[in-house]
Amino acid sequence: MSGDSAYSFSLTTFSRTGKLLQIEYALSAAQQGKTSLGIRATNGVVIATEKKLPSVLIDEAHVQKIELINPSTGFVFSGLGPDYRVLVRKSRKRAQSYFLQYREHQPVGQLVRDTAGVMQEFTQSGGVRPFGLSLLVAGYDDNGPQLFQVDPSGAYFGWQATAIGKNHVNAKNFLEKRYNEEMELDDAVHTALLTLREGFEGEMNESNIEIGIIGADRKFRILTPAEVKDYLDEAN
Amino acid sequence: MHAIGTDILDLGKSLRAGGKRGAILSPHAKAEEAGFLLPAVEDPASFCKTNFGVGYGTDQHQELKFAKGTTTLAFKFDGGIVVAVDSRSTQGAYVASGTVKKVIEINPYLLGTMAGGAADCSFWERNLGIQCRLYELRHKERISVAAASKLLANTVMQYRGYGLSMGTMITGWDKTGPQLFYVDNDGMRLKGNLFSVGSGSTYAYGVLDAHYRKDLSADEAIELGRRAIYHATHRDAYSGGIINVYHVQEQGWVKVFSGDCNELHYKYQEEKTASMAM
Amino acid sequence: MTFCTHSPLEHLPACASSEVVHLNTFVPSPSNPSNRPASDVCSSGTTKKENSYSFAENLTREIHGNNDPIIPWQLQSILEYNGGAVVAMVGKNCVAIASDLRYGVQAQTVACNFPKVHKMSDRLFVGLSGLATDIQTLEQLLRFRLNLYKLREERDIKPETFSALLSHILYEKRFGPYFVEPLVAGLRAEDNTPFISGMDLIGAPVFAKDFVVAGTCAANLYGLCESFFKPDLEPEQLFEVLSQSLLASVDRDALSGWGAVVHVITPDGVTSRTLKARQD
Repeated sequence: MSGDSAYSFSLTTFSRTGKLLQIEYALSAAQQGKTSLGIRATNGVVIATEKKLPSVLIDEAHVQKIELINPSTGFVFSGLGPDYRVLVRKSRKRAQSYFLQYREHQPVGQLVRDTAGVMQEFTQSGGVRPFGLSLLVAGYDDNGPQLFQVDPSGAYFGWQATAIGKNHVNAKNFLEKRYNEEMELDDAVHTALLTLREGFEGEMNESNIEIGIIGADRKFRILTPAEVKDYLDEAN
Repeated sequence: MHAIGTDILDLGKSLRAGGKRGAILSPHAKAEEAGFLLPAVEDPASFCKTNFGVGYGTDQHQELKFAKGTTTLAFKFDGGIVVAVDSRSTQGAYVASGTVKKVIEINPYLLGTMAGGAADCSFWERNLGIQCRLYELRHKERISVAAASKLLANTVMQYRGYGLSMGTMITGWDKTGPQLFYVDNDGMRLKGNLFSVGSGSTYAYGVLDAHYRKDLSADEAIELGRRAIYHATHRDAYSGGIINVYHVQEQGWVKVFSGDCNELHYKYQEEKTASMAM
Repeated sequence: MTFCTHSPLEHLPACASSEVVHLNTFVPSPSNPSNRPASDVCSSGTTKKENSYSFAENLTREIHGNNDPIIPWQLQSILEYNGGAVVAMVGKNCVAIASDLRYGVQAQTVACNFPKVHKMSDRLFVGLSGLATDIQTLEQLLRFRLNLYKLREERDIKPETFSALLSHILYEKRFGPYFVEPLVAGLRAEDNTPFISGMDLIGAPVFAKDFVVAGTCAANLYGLCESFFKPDLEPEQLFEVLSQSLLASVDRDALSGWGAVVHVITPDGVTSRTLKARQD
């Protein structure tokens, strides 16, 4: 104990091979989470996620994985739920602070960068650990519809379509085949459902998945179970 | 109490001597007997001074702000006296007028200048005119400048402490030659060769002190007076507008110049660039 | 003249404690730590409270030698210390903003080359009237914030957003404000429509459709703009209306004027002109 404690000021200390193992472990945690995916269409963005719960006794109505950050931005995650809520709280606060200062909604790119900044800070600060999740961010601003992914390291990428979580490799392969640049939002929702179903264990229905969309009205919203059901029916 | 009536002619007369009511009952009876209604408060003098003060910086806190006059100068030289003034009147930062006559022509041989409260100056110098005329009628000869300025000084002494604001120069040509006196609301009276009064006076003094000589020609003296006032109008926020210049001669005063200080600015600027090019 | 001969001054330094002391002689003494003239101590009954005079009052009383709380050139507001005027006006697909050039210290005109309108980007200007030191500080701060914004967001700021940012910066100093009343004028990038706004020193914004004014002759400017303004003026007409309004206003204000600069912002660019103005 005595010798180790001198070096335990940070959980993310470089290993001798130059790796930050804690961050890699955090990424593993994210990759073990339920699959989430996003697709950018010509006139909007869709994000979707599995909401499979460990017990049938849990009330699904009280589980929410897609969150609104500001009117034109939504988040979804794969990984640790409680960590996600911390991040959502910080990002919402940051977006409000931006709005207070500029009387203008924070552009998606800015919000992603600030959120990634928070995640990076948690890889380098004392007394904290990295966030055990990856994020997908969907938004629409003056630069059009956008989709981003943010990893526990604080690295972030813009995507046309991507997936995170347990089944992300297969899902991405699927999306690569199905994605095309002329795709509109409705088609994107369909493709999202098809992709999600690929790795889905059991029957997919309106209460065990969640979908968030943002269109040209720049208003992000989470689809109601009824709307999800309509999409599912069309897809069948 | 009574309002200003026909006995306004008594204004400024030695009240102790007049004794319309006999003995002076209170120090305030003086002002009241002279015809001014006083506020019905315990101490009218300090009340007037606090609420109706006119001087620079004394009325900022007041609801009532008075029009004030601002750069004036006069100096003696071999050819008589030059009197030069600006014509800006301000109430706070607001420019109330740019065409005020700040040289008061008391009579053909006497001039007074106006700095401080415009109303105070014009009223009391008009009053001085009356007193001088009465003197002339009584004594069958013109009043000396020394005596006239003393009359004004005596008058303001009667109202000392009531918040009058005036800084004036009384000039003229009498038996003893050209004469120049400074009189202000404190009762101060000074004889001198060169004075400047008002918020722009320091700038005028700067020009005057640099270029003044006793043996200036009349034209040079007039130009010096005009230039000193111009520089004051440029630097002082509370001076500006028309510049008026008077020349006091043996036969009486003559108005020798009246022109916009702004035109002078561009004229002087042109002369400066021309001389620098040479 | 009145003289004071009794005790309050008795424990003065030897050199000052002559038998007869002029009433208004100013002598600091242990019993008179507030540096008030001795006359206060002498006048019985009506003596003002200790420390009830400001430094400026004491100074004045020392000079004037009386009991009146007279402060020469007393300020109405610190906003009027240096003087100055700013105005912005809207035209058809154009907007103009102008200021005077005076930099003064109360009555004294120190310089005639102090413009109060600053270019923030190609089509965005800010006019700052008020205390000169704060004008400079705020201008630098705005430039700093704007440079950061440009780097971070990789785009030009919108006039509305800039106005909101400025308002926010001002309110951050709610209890120790910058003594500045700013105006914002710009053309929107999307559709060339004009934007103007004005605000008080703690950032309460006013979004006007016609004109906004600020400075020591704001009242004059309101009167003239109210009379001369017409909607949908072309750039040249707008320049004329704005210039005449400004010149006429500053000529009736002792603390502003001594030259003026007018910027007219159009979709094709900005024309900046210096006006020949009265120099008194």
